[in-house]
Amino acid sequence: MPMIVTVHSWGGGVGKTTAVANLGYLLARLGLRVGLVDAGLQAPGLHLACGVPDGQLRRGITGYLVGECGLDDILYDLGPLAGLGGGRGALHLAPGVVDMGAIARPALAGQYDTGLLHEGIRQMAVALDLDAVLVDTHSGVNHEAVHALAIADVCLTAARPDTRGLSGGPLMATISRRLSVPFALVLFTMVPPGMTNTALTGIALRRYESPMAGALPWAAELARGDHTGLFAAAFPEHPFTVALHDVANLLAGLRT
Amino acid sequence: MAELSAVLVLRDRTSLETSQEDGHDLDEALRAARMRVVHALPDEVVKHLTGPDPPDLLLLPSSLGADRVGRYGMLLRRGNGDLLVPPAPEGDPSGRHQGRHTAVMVYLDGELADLEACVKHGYHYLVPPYRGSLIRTQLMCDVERHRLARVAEEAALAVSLRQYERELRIAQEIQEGFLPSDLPCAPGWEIDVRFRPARAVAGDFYDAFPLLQGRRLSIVVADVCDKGVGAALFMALIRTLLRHTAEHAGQWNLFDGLPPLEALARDVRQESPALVPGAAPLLQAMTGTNRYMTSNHQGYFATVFFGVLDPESGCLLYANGGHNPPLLRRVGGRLERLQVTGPAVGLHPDSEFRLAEVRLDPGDVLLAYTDGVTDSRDPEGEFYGEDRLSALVRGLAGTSLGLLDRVEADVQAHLRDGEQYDDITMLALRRLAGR
Repeated sequence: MPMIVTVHSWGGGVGKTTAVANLGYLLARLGLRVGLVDAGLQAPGLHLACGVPDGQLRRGITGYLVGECGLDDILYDLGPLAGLGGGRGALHLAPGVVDMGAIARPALAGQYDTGLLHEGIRQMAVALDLDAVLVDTHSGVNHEAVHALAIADVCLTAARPDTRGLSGGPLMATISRRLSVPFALVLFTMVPPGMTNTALTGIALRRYESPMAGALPWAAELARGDHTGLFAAAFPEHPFTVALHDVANLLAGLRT
Repeated sequence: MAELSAVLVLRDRTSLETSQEDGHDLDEALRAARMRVVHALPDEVVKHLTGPDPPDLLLLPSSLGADRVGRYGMLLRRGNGDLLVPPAPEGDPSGRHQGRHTAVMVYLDGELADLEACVKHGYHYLVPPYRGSLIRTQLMCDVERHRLARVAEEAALAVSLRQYERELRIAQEIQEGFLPSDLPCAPGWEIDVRFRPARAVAGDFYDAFPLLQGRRLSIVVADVCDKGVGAALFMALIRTLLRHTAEHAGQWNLFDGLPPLEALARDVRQESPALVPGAAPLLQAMTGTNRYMTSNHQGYFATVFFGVLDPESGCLLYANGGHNPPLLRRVGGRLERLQVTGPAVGLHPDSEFRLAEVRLDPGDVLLAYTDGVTDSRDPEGEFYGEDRLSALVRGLAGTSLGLLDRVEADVQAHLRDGEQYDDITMLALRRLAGR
């Protein structure tokens, strides 16, 4: 079975979705067959971080959850878009949706079984022969997130090293512990210049009771939003990409 | 007309010996009316009324007073208003005892005020001069009135009975409406049921319905405590609560009834059954129904076996709330029992229902049943029992329908002519070989 990596955050706007898309890309570049799952049903956006514009995808996970379509109908091969060619590495996306009606139905009414998310990930992994699945969750404590954490082999908690980001630390640590997540790690994002990895490692251990997976520096190119698509593919030498590459290597190592 | 008889009750022995007394005149008048007259003292009345040949007429002296007269009247109307008359001897061809009635009349004996008091209590009365023909006419009127009253009473009873039967039939029809008219089918699976209420309506029920847009199949077998109409009412309620909750469960209540989070935690790399599809509807149905019952209808509960089948994988997720463990017959004949995972639904407000999972492989068959099967007793009172059921099921390798037929036939053979005391419900689920 594939390694399931659930990427979560306490607060919103920490760059979690960007991290998921690019981490998936970098893992694929390492030769892994990777699936990306957008479980942020309330505000899906993983497809955008992968360079797939709104309107191009008609069906997403919500359609699968409420039984409107099958898993085969929603899977999207990002290989050509990401420029992955030749080798074993592959990148597939189970997108959220961009249709307001489809978002509203399950998200607001809650009329679906969260267990299907789990089953869908398993089926996707088998169908695409995946080595790793990265699940992008909606921030905060919600059912999809808790469910995705419960099935995770690795919980990657994304957080900015500021007051807001650190405030959720103890709670996330408790949730991971109580769910017996095998590997709970912290991924610091939007790290301002001047903060050392040593200091951040200490914060991760104190606040999150977990080791640090990496520290992604602040990237003006990302903040400006003038770039579309996979950032790591466009800026392979950027410190952000370099730091994320280390995280990819770490995860690939955990898998073995 | 048959000879009429009268018991003439006298104040005391001397009253008859005195020719001037009213009793004497009355005695003569009765005989003139061709009636057989027997004299009695007040303390002999009961003996005459309960003897083998009760009189057509009981004549009481007004001097007994309204209270004592009333006591004799009460004696005659004891119970349901029928007269205190012994049952007709067997083989009585005369029909004389059929609708036998003893009329009571009070005759003037002493003070007029005493007679008035009796009349106020509704007793017919006789005053001198006594005329045989008038007494006879009055007696016949009383008999006829009694006959009409009896006819009216019987008619009212018949109407009431028919109304009850009609209500019961409606209840039966409504209850049948609470059972699925069609069983859902899934490719590669057989599902069959058997439902035999002990009375017109039952406390048992079964259900089968699709969940998660047909990706799962729910099966329920339950037994509501009690029998008859009361149980049937709660059967309707519990069945509805279970099904409605399961069909409308969302993820928002996934952790309801579970110790939060820990229930989802993996156990030595084994994922919690609470994470699989169908877990949320199943748990919400059990805990929600349990909470509703304990909050609103204390004292009523049901044993419930609730399973959610994944027809693709054969995995059956289930909760067993105090129900007889269903038998899972493996293809080779080995039996497994799906043990209880929680108490009966409706017993305790804080009941926890664990989830368990079992996989049905091709050729395996599951038999869920109510205790009406195993508690069936033969005329000597011996239970059918789990051992006999297990032995039978172990040896049955055919279709689910065949399994139910054989079990039912065996239970009937055990019952012989004995009464079926409890509802019998069975549900068989079989995965076809080669699937």
